[in-house]
Amino acid sequence: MSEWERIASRLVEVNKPTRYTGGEYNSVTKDWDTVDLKVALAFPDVYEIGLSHLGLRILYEMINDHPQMLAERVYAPWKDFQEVLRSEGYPLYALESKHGLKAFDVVGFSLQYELSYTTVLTMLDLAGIPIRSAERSETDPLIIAGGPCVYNPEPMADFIDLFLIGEAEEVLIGLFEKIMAYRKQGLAKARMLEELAKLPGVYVPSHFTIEYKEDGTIAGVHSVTGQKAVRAVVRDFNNAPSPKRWIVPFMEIVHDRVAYEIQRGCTKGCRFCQAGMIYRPVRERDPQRIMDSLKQLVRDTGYEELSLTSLSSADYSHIQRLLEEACGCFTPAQVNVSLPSLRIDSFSVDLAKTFQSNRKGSLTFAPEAGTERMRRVINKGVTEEDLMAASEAAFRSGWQKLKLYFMLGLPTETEEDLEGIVRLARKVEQLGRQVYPKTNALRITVSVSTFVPKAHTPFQWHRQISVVETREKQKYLQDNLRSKVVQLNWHDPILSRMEGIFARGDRRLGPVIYKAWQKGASFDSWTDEFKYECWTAAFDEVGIDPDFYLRERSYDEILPWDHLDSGVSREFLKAENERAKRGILTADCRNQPCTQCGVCFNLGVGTRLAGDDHG
Amino acid sequence: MAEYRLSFTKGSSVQFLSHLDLAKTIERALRRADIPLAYSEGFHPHPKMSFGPALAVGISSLEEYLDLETVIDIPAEDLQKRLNRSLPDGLQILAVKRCLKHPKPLNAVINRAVYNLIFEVDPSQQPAIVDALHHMMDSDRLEVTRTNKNGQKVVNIRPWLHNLKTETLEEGELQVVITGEIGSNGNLRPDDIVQLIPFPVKVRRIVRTEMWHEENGIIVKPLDLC
Repeated sequence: MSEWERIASRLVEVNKPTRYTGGEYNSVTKDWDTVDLKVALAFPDVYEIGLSHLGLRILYEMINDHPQMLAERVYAPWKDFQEVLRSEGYPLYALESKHGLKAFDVVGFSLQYELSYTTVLTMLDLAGIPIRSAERSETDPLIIAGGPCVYNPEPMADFIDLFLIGEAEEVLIGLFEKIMAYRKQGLAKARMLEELAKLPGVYVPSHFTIEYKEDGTIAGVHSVTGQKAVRAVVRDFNNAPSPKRWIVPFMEIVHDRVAYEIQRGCTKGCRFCQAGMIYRPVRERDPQRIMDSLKQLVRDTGYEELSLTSLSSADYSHIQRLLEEACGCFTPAQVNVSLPSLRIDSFSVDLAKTFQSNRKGSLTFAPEAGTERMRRVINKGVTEEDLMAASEAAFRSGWQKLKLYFMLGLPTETEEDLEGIVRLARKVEQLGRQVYPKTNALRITVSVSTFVPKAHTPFQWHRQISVVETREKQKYLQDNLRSKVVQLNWHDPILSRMEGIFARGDRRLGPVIYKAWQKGASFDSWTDEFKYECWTAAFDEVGIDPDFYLRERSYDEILPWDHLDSGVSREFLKAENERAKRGILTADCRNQPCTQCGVCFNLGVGTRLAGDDHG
Repeated sequence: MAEYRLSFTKGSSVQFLSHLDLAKTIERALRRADIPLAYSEGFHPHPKMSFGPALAVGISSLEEYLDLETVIDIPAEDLQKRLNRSLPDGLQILAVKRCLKHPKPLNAVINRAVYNLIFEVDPSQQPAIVDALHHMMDSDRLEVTRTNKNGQKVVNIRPWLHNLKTETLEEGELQVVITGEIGSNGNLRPDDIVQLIPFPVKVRRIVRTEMWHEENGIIVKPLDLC
């Protein structure tokens, strides 16, 4: 019996065994012995979450299309299967060839959320790879990471050899070709990293030293090589690669559909939103290309649902025509079309009517804040009338369930803003009752999350509210909001606190992550798995006050991510923060004059809207 | 409209698919092959596709059965060729028959299944294990404990065990082939046999190798019943 068969014979013992088998339709198993570079693409969460992520699918196909490279996938095994691996003495393996991660040249992690950091450590450990970069030898794989979290990668600096900042599809193949060449030359890892640091988007944390002041803030950042890391950006998004051989899982995954990215970037300019800053500028794909790709994807996957994804799909220039064409093409074949998000206007409701013939589900609107004033602060130029008009359109079109998203703890928030959330929800409820006086099916779900200031946003200097404050605000909403119709959901304030610490943390948090993990922290984003006591103990033992990272920062302070260039200038972020204080809206540069954020000039890229000629 | 009966294998990764996941996988493969399934009428249309007796997760099979209805009439060989091209590894259509009339459901006709179990055993216990296995055929009662959501119950599986053969493959490796009842008149499960062996054994592999309809000693294969 082969080593792997021994594992296979025990798969009946674990929950959801197809997480660990590979072999899905459209997965690619290349010949192990005939390629020069082997890459494991790792997602630090379970299979059904990891495979739902579009980014790794793009990279998987790009790498496998290269004749000298192969890419395989690995996700975090759940505890039951970790037990099997450990008891059989088999390393964490990639799904395609079942090789342990140590046999790969590069292991690339996708860091999508801060609370997945300890799971990265779990995966390295299960693979038998030393966890800290400094402990790894020449024969260990190069450990790299990308994703939105690496815009402040400092807390993970101890564990990752090289971060790729920005849109990896632009630079990844070039980076790997260099690694192949250096390996052939027999270049040592340290020398190789020096060379790789010269490439766009590459940040090698060990090349930087950080000095601290007595008060704990940063005194200075020194680069050993003199290189600065600038975000990578896709210049020609229309022609940029997108997955064609879409992997079709055996089990149901979180986003169980074909996703096609119709545009990249959003310039609405919400001041809390990191994605709205780090994926600038807006780049649309041509409608004809989109339709051709969708047809091919549906044909080659057999999927029953497809989604036209982006950060704000309703803003796509030809969204109505595209949606009508897609529905006309796919609905007769029993393939549903959907959009991931809607704007708050009746146009969006009309769009939803196009693709949702079944109105049993819910529509989601995100006013984000309860008062006009607060919405101006965050640059969400939505009025109460907009929300009422959109809600009415939704009710009159047959929807009986609405979801409303809000944030707690936004800068300058007062009691009035909290009351505003209650008032808005009540108004929507009344409207619903007017349209549906007799039904019991009317539901307004109010979802509140805690505002977490993120790096490279206009709100990066603000303080994050404490757990106690959050609970008070949540309690206020609970006491005033709940009714037969209105339901309230909120995020666990402790998880938001942890997220906030790492979102704006520095590299002194590395030892805390390591300690907390040693004590058993892993899968922290899973509420049932989260062990706060591991974290509090780790902070104590390392001697770090976590609240230090949640405080307000001054403009003079050197922020832990200041030496990483997102393309958006610090001056713009500062100006936006000042405009926020005065409640001044900033227009969307998609169809308004340039707002001087700096991204186009700094990165040599431009806004690109799809032409009217349909391709 | 046309109705077909298919036989297929279920191996490698696919043996870990639940019944529901298998149905979804085949549905998607049919769509990739551009073979339009017929759907039921009504508010929640579902594809007209029905499988033979379910197979426990982790057991592979050399012979599974499936009935399906398409909205177009395709020659059976074409359907087989096209579907095989769009199936993931581990699923392979062995034969397709176009039904002349609406057949009796697979679950109503199939009443025998053959399983091939491969065990790793302690070589010193091997003769005793073989004896114990052979003794099963001579017993009047074979009681096993089955657990379901209503709790545990003791079941006599002896009436459902029709045949049992053993073969030593090599030292410490034992193959057991069982033929048993399946369907509405009773269900012999490979696990029952494992439970009845009075020694520790490690199950390496279980394969369902065949299924058929048997009545008064006459054997008919499902493909000959449509």
